[in-house]
Amino acid sequence: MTEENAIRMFKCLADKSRLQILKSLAVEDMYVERLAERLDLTPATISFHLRKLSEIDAVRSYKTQYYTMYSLCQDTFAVRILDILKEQSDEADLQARREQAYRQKVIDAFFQYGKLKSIPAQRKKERIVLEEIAKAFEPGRIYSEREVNILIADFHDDFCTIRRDMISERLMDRDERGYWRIA
Amino acid sequence: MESEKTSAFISYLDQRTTSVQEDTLRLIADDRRDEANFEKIRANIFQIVKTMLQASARISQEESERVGFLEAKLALFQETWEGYLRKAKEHGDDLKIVQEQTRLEALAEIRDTFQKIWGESL
Repeated sequence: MTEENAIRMFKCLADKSRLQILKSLAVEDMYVERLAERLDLTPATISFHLRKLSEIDAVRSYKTQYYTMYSLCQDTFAVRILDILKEQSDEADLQARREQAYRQKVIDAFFQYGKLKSIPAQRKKERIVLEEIAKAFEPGRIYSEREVNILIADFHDDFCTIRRDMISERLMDRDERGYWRIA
Repeated sequence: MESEKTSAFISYLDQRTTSVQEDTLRLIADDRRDEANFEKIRANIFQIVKTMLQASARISQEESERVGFLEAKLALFQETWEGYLRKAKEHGDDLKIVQEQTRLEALAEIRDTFQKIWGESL
């Protein structure tokens, strides 16, 4: 299901009367007048709702001898909402580009000639700065505390604070062997 | 100076506008926004007729002439909206069908009240 279709579907379903129609059709197939009686709405209003529901493939109609019957499209409702959310969307690319632009802005503001000018007070910005510093550490390699301090000192004098913050932000971990970068 | 009948008709239109607006709010609160929009159309008809009645004062000071003007307008609305409804049905336009039916329902109710108030004198 495309993102556009998902939005159309959610918008259409966000209506109590339409939900009641679907609930009725989940029990059995019905014709307009019967739905109108059950929901205490005019047949014209029911037809209007059914049209909207058929536009999102929620219901389908078929002719019998006397009536046009409506039934629930089971397939449409068999889709998991989580699957819809996991689908790649155009918006995801745009969001990633916006995030990257913001990231670059923070890096440009806090780093000058490879040195950290100051430790950001805002956690979100500090996280970006720490992630940038973490790139100096090779993944999989274990560093002694001295090595860690020297590497961080290349960026900023307050290597103790940065080292501790990198641990608390789960960018690095440590045990009795030393420190390592978390992938 | 409004006559007693005109005042009664205006009061009816005001009361129906208020009650339909309350229904609209109830439908919105009940997550039935499309039906709420249909009720807005209904409320609008009561307001339009009230505006027309007030505007008719500029046409004549005679109540019978003002009432005649309004009656002709209501009949014209009926004819026009019935035409729209017919076209909407021909094209299977479900949205327009409900909209035109809502207008015609409100108009039928208004014409009924109009007849009750002025029927004998017309």
